[in-house]
Amino acid sequence: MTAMTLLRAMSAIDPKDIEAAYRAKGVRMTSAASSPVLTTEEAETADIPMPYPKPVSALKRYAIGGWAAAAACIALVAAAGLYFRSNDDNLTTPSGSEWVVELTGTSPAETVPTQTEEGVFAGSAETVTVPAVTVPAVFTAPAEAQTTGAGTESPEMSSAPAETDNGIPVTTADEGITAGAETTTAATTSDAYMITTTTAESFESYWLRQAVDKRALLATSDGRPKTQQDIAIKTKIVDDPDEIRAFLEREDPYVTFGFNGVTETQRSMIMENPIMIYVSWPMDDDRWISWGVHSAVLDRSGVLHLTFSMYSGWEAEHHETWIYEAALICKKDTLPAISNITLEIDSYEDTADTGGEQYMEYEASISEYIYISTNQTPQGGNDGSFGFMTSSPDDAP
Amino acid sequence: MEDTQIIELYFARDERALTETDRKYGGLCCSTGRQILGSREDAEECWNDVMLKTWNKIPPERPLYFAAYLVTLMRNAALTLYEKLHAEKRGGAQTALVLEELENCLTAPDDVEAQVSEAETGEMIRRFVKTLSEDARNIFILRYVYMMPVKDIAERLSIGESKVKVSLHRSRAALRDYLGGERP
Repeated sequence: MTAMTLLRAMSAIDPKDIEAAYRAKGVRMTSAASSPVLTTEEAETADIPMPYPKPVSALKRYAIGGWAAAAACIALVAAAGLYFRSNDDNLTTPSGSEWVVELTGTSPAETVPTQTEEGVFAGSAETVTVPAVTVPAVFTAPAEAQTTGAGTESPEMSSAPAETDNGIPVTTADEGITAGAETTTAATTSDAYMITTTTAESFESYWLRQAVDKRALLATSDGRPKTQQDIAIKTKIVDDPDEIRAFLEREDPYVTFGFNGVTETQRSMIMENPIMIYVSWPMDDDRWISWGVHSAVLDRSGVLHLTFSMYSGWEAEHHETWIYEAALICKKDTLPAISNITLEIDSYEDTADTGGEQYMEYEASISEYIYISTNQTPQGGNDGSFGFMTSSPDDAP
Repeated sequence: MEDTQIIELYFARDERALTETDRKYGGLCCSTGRQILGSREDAEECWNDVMLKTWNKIPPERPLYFAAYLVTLMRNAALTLYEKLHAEKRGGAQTALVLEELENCLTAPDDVEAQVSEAETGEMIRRFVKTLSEDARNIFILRYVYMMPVKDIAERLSIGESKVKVSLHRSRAALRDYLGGERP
């Protein structure tokens, strides 16, 4: 059988199905997918009009439909957050606004509910406890570019709060704080990137929430959540518009989430003076596959939650190294100072057949000025179909 | 004009049937042809052939799903032309990509045992598509029957390109497994 035979054979598909596809005008929004990744508490504290479907409870968000019969797998959701620390929170701020980006991780255990076929949530199906992950990756980025020099210990980390205003846990790294380099690699070394920025504006403008259609993972091949030693996170703050444009325009690997839902005018406004906070990490795993960023929420306390999710399916037979990327791009002069990035690991139950799609239903703009761009790249090319997946037999274990 | 009315025109041997067919489905079919052939002119040539073939087949045939009927004829004609042209040059905006994607669905392309007829394969594909969810099925068909680029599918269904890619990826994986299991 050849691919052409297969392609020709597609003509044998039931005309009814072919006709239905032609008539199809949209994809159904399922409950889990159409819900931003917010807890109920977060949703209730939101008083800013949301550009997106009304949030529902975390239970619903993590609800899995009646797929118990299917071969369920456990998936992890990693959330990365940018934590805002204002100038009056007892931090040392050289002058004006200050950027300190740190990568840490928390992993609260999550009880995963199930949903019956009738749509009734039926309580916990499985609980996955994920140990904490702490990734000591830190930036300091004073507004006036006060370079501290490579390898210089930064005092800011120790004063980072352990919990945000809305109760979202933030584990603060307590080691590896250095400054002076452009990128930061967690687990082994930490550097800082100096950046110039303007004084932060109100958060209120930056309340955002979004669910997008990618998934990521933070688990080892035996299902153990990645630890600090397992993860090498690189972060970078880019304020060169050309470099940001290059990031957005590259075709291989695919940039699958860009200015969706953002008008050309808004895009132009962003790109007039953009800044990009870029995070990437490799995942070498033979069990899980990632869809990348699932959602992004900047809450009122300034924490930007980038939620990644993962899926395990037939791809388990492959052993591949993936590089996951997430980039926050926004209009620089309107971005509030960001002082902290956290990685949080959450969990939910997924199924190989249907679960993944539950989290992949929509993507759109986050706010007028901010959006998230995500990407996954393989090491060694891609198969031309999925955009970020290697298919070479050489990659097999 | 409703499909049934157009078909009645065919049965009445009224040449307005061709006009109405072209008006209603010419764009769709030519688009499919262009995606396969990568050439507007070649696609229009195929479409003319398809309309003639339709005129000759109706009656006696009375398709229940006229759009699907026409697109199937169109893609078959376009694929035939593609193969003919491909012997001479590379062409086809989406065909090469689609073929590359489908290569991954072949469990053992060179396996003698895998040499099944197109008809048998067609039947397997027909059954396989029924196993997909509605959304996945629509995406799969838009890609591999209508030969739409991923971007166009995403826009048409108001979803992200990523979702389309992911859905196709999973469907192909399922197809590969299905063909492996179904292979005689």
